[in-house]
Amino acid sequence: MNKMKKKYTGYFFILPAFTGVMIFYILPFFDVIRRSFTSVYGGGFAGIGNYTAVLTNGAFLKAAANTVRFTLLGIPLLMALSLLLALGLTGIFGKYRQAAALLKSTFLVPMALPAASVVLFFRLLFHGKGFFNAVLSWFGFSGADWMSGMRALFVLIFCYIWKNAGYTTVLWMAGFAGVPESVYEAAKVDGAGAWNTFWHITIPMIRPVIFMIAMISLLNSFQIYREVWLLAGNYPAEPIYLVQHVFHNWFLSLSMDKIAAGAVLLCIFVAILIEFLQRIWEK
Amino acid sequence: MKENHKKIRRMAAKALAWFFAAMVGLTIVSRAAASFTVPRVITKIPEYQSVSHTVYCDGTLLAKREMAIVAEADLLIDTVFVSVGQRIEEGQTVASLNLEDLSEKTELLREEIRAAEQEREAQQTNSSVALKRAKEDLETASSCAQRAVDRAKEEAESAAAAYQSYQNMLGSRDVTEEEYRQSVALLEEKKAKQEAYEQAQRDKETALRDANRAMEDATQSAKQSDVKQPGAGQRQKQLERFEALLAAKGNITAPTAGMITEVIGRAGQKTTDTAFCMIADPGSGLLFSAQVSREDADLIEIGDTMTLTHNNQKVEDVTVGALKTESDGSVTILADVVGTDWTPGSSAKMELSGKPSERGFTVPLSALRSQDGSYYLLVLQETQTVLGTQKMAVRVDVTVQEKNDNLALVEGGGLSGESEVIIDSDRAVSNGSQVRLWEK
Amino acid sequence: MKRKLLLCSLCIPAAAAVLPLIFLITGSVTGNLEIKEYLSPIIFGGDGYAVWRFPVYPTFRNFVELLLDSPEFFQMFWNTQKITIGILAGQILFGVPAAWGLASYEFPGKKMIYRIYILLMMMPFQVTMLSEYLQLKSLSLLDTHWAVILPGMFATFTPFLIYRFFCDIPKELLEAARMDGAGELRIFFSIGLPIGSSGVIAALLLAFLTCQSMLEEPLTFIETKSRFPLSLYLPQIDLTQAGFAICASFVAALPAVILFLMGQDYLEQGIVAAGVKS
Repeated sequence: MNKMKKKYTGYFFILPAFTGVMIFYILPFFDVIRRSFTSVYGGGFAGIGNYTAVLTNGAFLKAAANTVRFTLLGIPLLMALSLLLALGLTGIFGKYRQAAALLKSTFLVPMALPAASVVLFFRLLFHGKGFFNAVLSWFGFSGADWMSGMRALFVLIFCYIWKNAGYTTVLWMAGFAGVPESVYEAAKVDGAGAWNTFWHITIPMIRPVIFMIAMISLLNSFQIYREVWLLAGNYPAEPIYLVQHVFHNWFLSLSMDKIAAGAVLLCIFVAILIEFLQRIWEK
Repeated sequence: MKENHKKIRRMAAKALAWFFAAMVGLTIVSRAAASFTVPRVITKIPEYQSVSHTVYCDGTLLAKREMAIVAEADLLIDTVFVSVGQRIEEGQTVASLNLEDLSEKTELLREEIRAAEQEREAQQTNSSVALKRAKEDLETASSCAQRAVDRAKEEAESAAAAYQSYQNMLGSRDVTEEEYRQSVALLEEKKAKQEAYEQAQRDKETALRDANRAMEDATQSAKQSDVKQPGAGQRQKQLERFEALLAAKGNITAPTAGMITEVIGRAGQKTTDTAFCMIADPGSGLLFSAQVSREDADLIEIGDTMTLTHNNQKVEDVTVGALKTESDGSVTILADVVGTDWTPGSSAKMELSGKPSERGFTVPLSALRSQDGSYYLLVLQETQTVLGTQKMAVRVDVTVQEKNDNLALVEGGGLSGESEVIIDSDRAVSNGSQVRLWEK
Repeated sequence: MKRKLLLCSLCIPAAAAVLPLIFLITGSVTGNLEIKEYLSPIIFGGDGYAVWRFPVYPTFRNFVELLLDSPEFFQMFWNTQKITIGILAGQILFGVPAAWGLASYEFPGKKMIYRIYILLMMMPFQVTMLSEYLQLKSLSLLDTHWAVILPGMFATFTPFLIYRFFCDIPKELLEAARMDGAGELRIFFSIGLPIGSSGVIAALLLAFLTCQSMLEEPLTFIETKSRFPLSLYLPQIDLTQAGFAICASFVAALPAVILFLMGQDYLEQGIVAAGVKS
């Protein structure tokens, strides 16, 4: 009797929230799945017509490639850079504790600032006659149009790193903190150098953390669409035309069938990706 | 460090609270400020109607028929009993003349008449005498002349006979000088006698003619002495009038009932040979007369109807009968007024609506705005702004077809029976400015 | 020595991190004339590059214009706050108990629910955008603030974060309380919440920051301009009103910045919990 009570109390706590989740996320998604198999005209069964339409859609393919490229470039860069920052902060922690804390705070500021508030600055920064080019000109480099062509990718990655570096650094540092001192002691005793210690001891120990950092960075990479849209609107330069742009433009043109199929595809893709990465990491 | 953080946290918490409080306050303030600056407007939907021009004017009522009361000229006026606007009955005394003066004048007149009469009689006698004489002369002349003629004729005949007989005596033989001279002398005698005879005839004619002429002249003058009578007749009439006035104790009465429109004669003055006073016969009909400017007159045509107001009474459908342009450019309107008991000489107000224009959208004049010579209206339009649905003033260009003192007939793209035209605002409004409706 | 060098070199990224904030602060007090001067190559397309300097003649005129003369800014501001508070309230009401349920109890289907939560957490908005849209449409909630608040209330990231904190509470504690006769609700309110409070705060703080910055959901679900949050209003301000735009951006960021200062520790904890504690 008690056991049963205990069993079902869980439901009691989670039910309201889960009902909401069902209503707004899960159930309608089934409808979307259904729609992905129907034609937008009249609603008759269309087989995988929508899917083929999406998968052969030039814009979608391009955007997908762009998104993948950005992700493959951005996430490692972000993780590496924030790792360096984390190492640096940890390094000065002992002596300059207060300074380190202050620095950490400043690193976190970008995540607090609302995207809409900072986009103005970035717009001025990367304008053809903007601050960035101005600084470059001090060093003798000629300015460039950062918002078009391949250069836009740089802007994208820049924004992504700027926004998330602090966040990710904190994650790294938390990961480091999770390694007990004793391990380091032992390594020292064994005569391992800093580099070896780091590479062969610390890293493996914080594997799960690294995975989470990657996951979270992936999550944040989806979020970057916000900044991009604010900077460049619905049709940015080609290299930074992302999957989110495609969806948004489909929405604006009421191509619900494409969105439906696309959403399902995306969902499957992300789910598989997560599973895949999880498996790899757990190996 | 935790202490530090705690301090910062507390400060930040305070800052946050203040921040939101300030934001609330500022929200209210900025809204209040906006409501002060946002103009409030009154709007009106244009009415689909025609525009007419109404001319308002004050005019006078005149009597159609005005009569003059005339009094004898040159008489001293004692009292004037009437004034302008006064209604009088037939026979009512309008004035009284000075009796002394009247009597004097009457006597004078009588004497004049008498004198004239006497003269006439004298003249008549003279002329009839003259006529008689002329007649006698004629007869005398005639008979004398006839005798002369007859004698001359005898002589002419005897001379002719003498000659003839001498000639006969002589026959066709040759004549001696003496005989010749004798015959010549007889011939000449004959001619002379013939001459004299013809002359006597001529003389007779002349004499007759002269005598006839004299006779005619005499007849004429006899006639003329009769013709002088008209003058006498006038004086006689005048005398009769004076006597009538005397009999009426010097009172001048009105020949008809009516209203005095003008009094010319004044007490203490002498009457003139023009009208003493003017009396209007209201029964003869009323005329309304008013003066309007040229511009207003342009809008009026003969046949337009007007409404007259007098003494709080209204008469409608009064037709404009005549338009007369005066020397100063203004135009006098005349209209027949029937069916009222209004008295002439008083004023009335005229309201004349000219022919209405075609029907169209009309707006009050206050709604009409102009810029660089072209007209436009400001129409309310709902727009979606970040503050929600707001009203905005939008410019609509129009052309003005007709205009009078209150309304303008406009035509413009975008005007419809639902347009809310801004006719008034508590502050300047221009195209694109945000407005809100005046709340009653 | 090495540390000093490290310190100095770390200052560079730190500066980069706060550069936009400094821009906003200095720009807010810079008069329009100066701003136009500095940014004239961008605004008017002149020669040379735009520059930025600390204002020669600082002025509060931008604030006056923003805070006293622009009721529309406040409209947008309160829209954002309304959405934020709505979502936070919902998360407190629904998300916290959900996290507690997941953390403290076993029940059939828990694994699946857990996986669903993780999956939903990772999905980009675009996956569910159509389904949310259709659902909101059928509920006639489109173009209202509820269209953003309701899905946000049930977003799974925040409960997940709180869940991580609740997981740290030793189960023995709960058992002991149960043995003492405490009801489940009582356990939740007197043990779970107090101990996990820092986690709840951290998660809510992160949620707050996310809400202030929310963009895609309002963009998709709200149409009436008067209902836009700040994140959709700010980009519309034209560059010719640069002073106003900067000031507006700054004030818009103030709640987030202040809360950040307030809850920095919690924030860190939250981030850590997201990634590390497992």
